[in-house]
Amino acid sequence: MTPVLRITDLVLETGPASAPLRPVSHVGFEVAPGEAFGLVGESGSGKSLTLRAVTGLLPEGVRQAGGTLELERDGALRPYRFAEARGRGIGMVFQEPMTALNPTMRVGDLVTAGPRARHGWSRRTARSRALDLLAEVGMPDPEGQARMWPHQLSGGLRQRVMIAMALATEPSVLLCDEPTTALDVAVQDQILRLLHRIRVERGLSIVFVTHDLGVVRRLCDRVAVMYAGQVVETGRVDEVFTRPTHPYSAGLLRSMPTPDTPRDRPLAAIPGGQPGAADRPEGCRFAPRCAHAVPACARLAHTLAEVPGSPSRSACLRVAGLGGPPLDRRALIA
Amino acid sequence: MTGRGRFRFVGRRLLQAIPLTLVLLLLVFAMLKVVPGDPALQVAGPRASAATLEAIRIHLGLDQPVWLQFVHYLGRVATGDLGTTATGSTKVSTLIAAGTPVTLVLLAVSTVFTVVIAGATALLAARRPDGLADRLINVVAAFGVGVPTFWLGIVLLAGVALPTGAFPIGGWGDTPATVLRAAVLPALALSVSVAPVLMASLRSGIVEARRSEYHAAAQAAGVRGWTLTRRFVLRNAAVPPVSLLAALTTLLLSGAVVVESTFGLPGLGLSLTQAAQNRDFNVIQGLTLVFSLAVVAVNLVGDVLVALLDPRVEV
Repeated sequence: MTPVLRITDLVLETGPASAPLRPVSHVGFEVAPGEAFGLVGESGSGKSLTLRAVTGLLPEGVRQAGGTLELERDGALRPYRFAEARGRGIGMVFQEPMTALNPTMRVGDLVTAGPRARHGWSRRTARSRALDLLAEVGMPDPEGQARMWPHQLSGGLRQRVMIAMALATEPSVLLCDEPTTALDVAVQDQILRLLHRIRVERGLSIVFVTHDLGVVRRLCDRVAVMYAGQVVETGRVDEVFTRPTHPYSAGLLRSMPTPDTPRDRPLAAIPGGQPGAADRPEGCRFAPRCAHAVPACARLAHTLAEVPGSPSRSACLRVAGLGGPPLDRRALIA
Repeated sequence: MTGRGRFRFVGRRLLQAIPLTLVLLLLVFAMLKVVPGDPALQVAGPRASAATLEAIRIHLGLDQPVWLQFVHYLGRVATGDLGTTATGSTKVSTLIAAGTPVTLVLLAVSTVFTVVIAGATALLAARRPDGLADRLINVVAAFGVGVPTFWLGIVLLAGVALPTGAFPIGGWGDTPATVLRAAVLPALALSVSVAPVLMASLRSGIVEARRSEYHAAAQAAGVRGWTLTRRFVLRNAAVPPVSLLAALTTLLLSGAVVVESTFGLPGLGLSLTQAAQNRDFNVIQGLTLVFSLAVVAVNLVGDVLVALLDPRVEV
């Protein structure tokens, strides 16, 4: 089946053109129709920037220096123009519902501002569409809340408004940038359920950017793990979570608490910290922190390669078929 | 804020203005009490006998307790009686009624200039922050703030009015057309010092709105073009400048005093300058009152406008 969205070799740069830094280098992934795709990594891994790049809404000073962005249209993937894709095709849910809703517009007007400006909807059409959307995202009183200002709503309701706003353009892919990070735990759960329901009902594809592995395991079909601006492993969620093919993903999983984790012992942690865009090592960027590193890791050119005996793809020299001394994958899970 | 909430907000602001106005009246009243010199002596002249002075004091009510004098003062102000000029020929209220339209037109034209200049330059500067236009405008704005208004007035008279003949060399008009023509140069002189302040506020508001998450979220939702600029940038960027403009009215008023003298416009500012020269206390007192009330009123309007523009303002 043709993917709805494909990102190939995305390179993002900042700083002077003569000596640029690359917060994101050669990132690629594709999303199938109706699929939920997770992009996980620590802060600074480039996951949010990648998502921003898909809509062409990069922060000031960051530019796309390479890569192809394609959306499905009439059965084939085609490069798109941002202005086009934002109005139909791609929707985006932002992390902070406090700052991502215009404080000077009533909720009802805000939700349909996009399609109204684009299709010249009448006030009446826009209003009835807004009420439909607010009901769809589970607002308890669409009529009343359409007349309210964003600051009068709770964080959870604001995030629902944000989702309604993103759905107003009838997108085929919904990009979610840490959609629950700013919310408290009970509300997080409601929003995740809502996103899941919308995805099923609308047949939407969803891309989740998150540092929360629990969210990925719960909602996503496939996942890409990002580290220091690169994808280090990608595959089906059930595979990656049970049989990781990169020492970094394995470390992330070990550091995630489960109900069985003994409470009297500290959580496992990966020694060291993720290098910033300015001081990334040559070769495998994770090698300096990796317990399984060999000298050849420092010369490795980044590629995602097939892993023998696994449907995942990995950038690890010792796990994927990249010619390094093989590593018994059970060592990663232990 | 719902419609009724806003209504309540306006009502509360009006109520809050009442004690403020009373304090103002008290200050203006106290102004005369603290000026050196005996009013009775001024009326009667230095040769008057003690008995005459006493009679005048009783006539003026100066023998009564100060609080009672204040109550009487309030009563007179309420009926529009602000006393007569030092020569006794004209009522102060008549003088104020004559000067008010001139000053109002001057301030109105100047406000329009200020808003237009500040709006246009802010939009231009905000197009590319720290770009060439932005930096150029910044430099010019710094000069604008620094130029003394009286000097700029003289330069406009000598450099524009005299050589072109398009504007009168001072004085006012008697038809709408001549009035407007007479107001152009003084209003411009007045705007030049105020517009840069407004421009800076508007510019940073625009830049901030464009960098905001809600701007990005709107773009992601397909909002573009004029809707994006109007509802997601200008609307939000307008809030600080509106309250600033209200605060700048004091600056415009004091500027009007200077400009009216430079251009010889028969407004309240010129009356104030002349009254100060003649030590005409009734006129000074009356004008101070009018100016203070104007500032209170403008700030009230500014607060209400801000509340209309920004729904987050406390109800």
